[in-house]
Amino acid sequence: MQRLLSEIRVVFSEEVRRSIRRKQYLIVTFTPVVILLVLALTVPLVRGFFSGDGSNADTSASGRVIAVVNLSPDFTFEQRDSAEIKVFAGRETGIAALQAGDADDLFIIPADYVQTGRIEWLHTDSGLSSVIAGDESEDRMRALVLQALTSAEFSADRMERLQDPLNLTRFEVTPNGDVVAEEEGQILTFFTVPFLSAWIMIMVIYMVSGTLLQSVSEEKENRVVELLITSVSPLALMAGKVLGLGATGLLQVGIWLVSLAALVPRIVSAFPNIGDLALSPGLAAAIVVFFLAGYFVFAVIMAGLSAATVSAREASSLSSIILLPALAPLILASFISLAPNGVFARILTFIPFTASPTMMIRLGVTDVALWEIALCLVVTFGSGLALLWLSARVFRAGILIYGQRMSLRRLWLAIRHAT
Amino acid sequence: MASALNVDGVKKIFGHNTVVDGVSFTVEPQEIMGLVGPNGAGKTTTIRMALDIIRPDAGSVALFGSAPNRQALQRVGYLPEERGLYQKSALSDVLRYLGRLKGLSAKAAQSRSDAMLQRVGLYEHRAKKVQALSRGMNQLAQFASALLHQPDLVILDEPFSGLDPLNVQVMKEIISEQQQRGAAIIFSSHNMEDVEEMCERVVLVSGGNVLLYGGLDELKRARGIQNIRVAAPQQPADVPGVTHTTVEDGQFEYLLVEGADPNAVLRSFLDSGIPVERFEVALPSLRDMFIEEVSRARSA
Repeated sequence: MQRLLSEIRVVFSEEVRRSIRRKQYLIVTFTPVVILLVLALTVPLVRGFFSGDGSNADTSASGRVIAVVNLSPDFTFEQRDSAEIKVFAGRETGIAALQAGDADDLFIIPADYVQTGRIEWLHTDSGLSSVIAGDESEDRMRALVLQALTSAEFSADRMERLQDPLNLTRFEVTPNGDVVAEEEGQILTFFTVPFLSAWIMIMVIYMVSGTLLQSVSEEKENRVVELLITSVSPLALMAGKVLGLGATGLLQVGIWLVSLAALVPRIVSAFPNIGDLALSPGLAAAIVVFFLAGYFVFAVIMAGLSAATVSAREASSLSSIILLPALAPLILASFISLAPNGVFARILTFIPFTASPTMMIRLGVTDVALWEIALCLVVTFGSGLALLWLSARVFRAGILIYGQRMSLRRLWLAIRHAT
Repeated sequence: MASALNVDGVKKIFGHNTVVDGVSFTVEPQEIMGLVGPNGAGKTTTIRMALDIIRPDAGSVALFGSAPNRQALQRVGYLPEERGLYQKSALSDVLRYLGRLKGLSAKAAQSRSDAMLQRVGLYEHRAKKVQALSRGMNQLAQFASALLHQPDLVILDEPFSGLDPLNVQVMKEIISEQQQRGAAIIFSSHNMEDVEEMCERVVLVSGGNVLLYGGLDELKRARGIQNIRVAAPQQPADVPGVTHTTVEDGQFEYLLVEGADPNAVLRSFLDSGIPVERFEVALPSLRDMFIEEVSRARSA
C-alpha cells in the first residue's frame, strides 16, 4: 500500500509539473484573469466618464420607475412622489399603474411592515429579465425604506427592520391582470451557486479529460508507456494521472474564481445582489464533495478510454459521447428545479453518471433528505471505485495496443489477458 | 543465489496465433545472455511476459526467484524495442522522473541522471527538449534511463539499431561495465556479430519455439567442424561436401554438410591447380547456426 501511494505521488507530481508548464495551460488559465484585470481598471473609469458619478444606485439614479403603495401607519411616502417614484394610496390603483406601464415595479408595504419586514413586489417582467432588471428596483426600494425608517423615531422594531429591511415576496402580474405568486427560489434557480458549481464541474471534467486523453495518447504514441508500466502499477499510473490532472484543473478554476471574486464586484457594481450568492458552510462542503465525486467517476472512465483507443482524436470523439450523461441534468435543470424532490430528480440522483450534477442542482433549490445525500455519495464513490478497478484493467490491457482500432471484442480479450 | 530470470515453458496465444510456445531459459547474475531470432519469432512477447507486461497462458516466470511482482520489477532496467521519451520535456527532467518511478529519491534521481548523461556524452544537452535531440541521442538517453537505478537485470531489446559505430562502442563499454558491476543482461538483437562478441550464452527463438539454447562455445563445438575458410584467387568448379558458400574479401567460406572431410576441400583446390594462400578450419559462426536452424525449422 505504501509503495502504491509512493508511486501515485511520483506520477501525481510529474503530471502537475508537466501540465502547469504547458504554454496552453498558462494561456488558458491567465487570459481570463488578464481580461478581468483590464476590465476592473477600465470599466469604472468609463462608467465615471459617461455617468459623471460612480456611486451605487440610490433612490433617484435610474431610468426605471417604481410605484409604492404604503399601508403602514408608521411612516409616509407622499413627499417622495416624483418621476421615478410614484406613490399610490391603494393596491388597485398601483396595479392599474403597473399594467398601464406607468411603473416598472410595484411595492406594497403592508400595515405590519415594521414588525415583519414583509413587502409585496409586483412586476410585469418574467424570466431572467425580471431578475436582472429587478436588482435595480430592489436597491432603490431598500434605500427608500431605510430613509423612511431613519427619519422617524427609533424603536426596537425599527432597529430590527434597519438590519433586515426587506422581506420581499414576488408576484407577477400577467397581461390578464392576474397576480401570480412566484415559487420560492424558482427564479433564482439559474443563479444558484450549486448550479454554477455543476457547470464548473462539467467544465473541469471536459478540460481535464482532454488533457488526460492527450497525456495517455502521447505516452502511447511515444512508446513511453512500456517503460512506465514496468516501473509502476497501472493502477498507480492511472490514479496519479487522474489526481494530478484533476489538481491542475481545480487550480485553474480556483485561480479563475479568486479573480472573479476579487475583480467582478468592482466591474459589475450595478449588480449588488451578487452578495446573495454566499453559501452556508454545509452547502459549500456538500458542493465540494459532490464536485469531487463527479470528477472522480468521469476521470477514471476517461483514463480507461484513453488507454483503450488508438489516438487522441478517437478518444476525444468517444469522450464527448461518454460525457453526455453529465450534461443531461444541466440541460434538464429547469425540470429538476421545479420538482427537486420529484421522482425524475430522485432517479437522476442515484445514477452514477448524473448523480453529482443533479444533487448539486437539488441542493441549490431545496432541502434534500440526509439519507438521499448519503446514498447518492455511496452510489457515486462506490461506482467510481468499481470503475477505477475496471479502468485499471482496461488501462493495463489497452495501453500496449498500438495502431489497432479497439473493438469491444478486442477490449474484452485484452482485459482477459491482463488478468 | 537465485537466477536473475527463469522463464519456464511460457506460452502465449493471441486469438488463434501461438506467438510463444513453451519457451524456457535462465539468466544468471553477471552474465550476458543473447536472445536472438528472426522477426516475429516471439522475442518481444517473451520479454513482455518476463516483465509482467502481459501474462503467459501457460508456464511461469520467476524474477530473482519469485513471481515478477513490483519489488522484483524495480530491480530491472528495460530498453524496449519500440522506444520513445516525452518529446516536449527537458532531457534531464525525463530521466529524473523515470528514475523516481524506479524508486530513487528526487536527489538520487537527479545525481544519477547527471552521471549517466555524462557517461553517454549527453550532459551538455540535458536542458534541451527531447524532441530537439537526434534519434541516436534519444536512444542513448533511453539506454541511460534504463540503467539509472543500477538494476540487477538489464533487458536490452535491439539496443544498437540505428546507432553509429561510435555510439555502439560507447554502449558496448557501458554494458560491459554493468556486467562487471554484477548485473545480468539480456541482449536481444538481429545482429549476430554483436551477440557473438558480447554474449556467453544464447537462446535462439523462431516461431515461438527455442531452437538453440546454451553456451555459445558449447553450441559451436557440438556442431563439429563445419566451416572452412580458404584464401585463393578462385575456387574449383566442384567443392565436395559443401552446403553453402560465401565469398567475401577474396576469401571463400564454406559450410560443410555433417561428417564432410575438410581435407577434401583443400584437395579439390590443389587438384585443380589453384594456389591456396590460406586454409582455415573454423567453428561455425552464430550467423551460420542461425541461418541453418531457422531454415530447417521453417522447412519442417
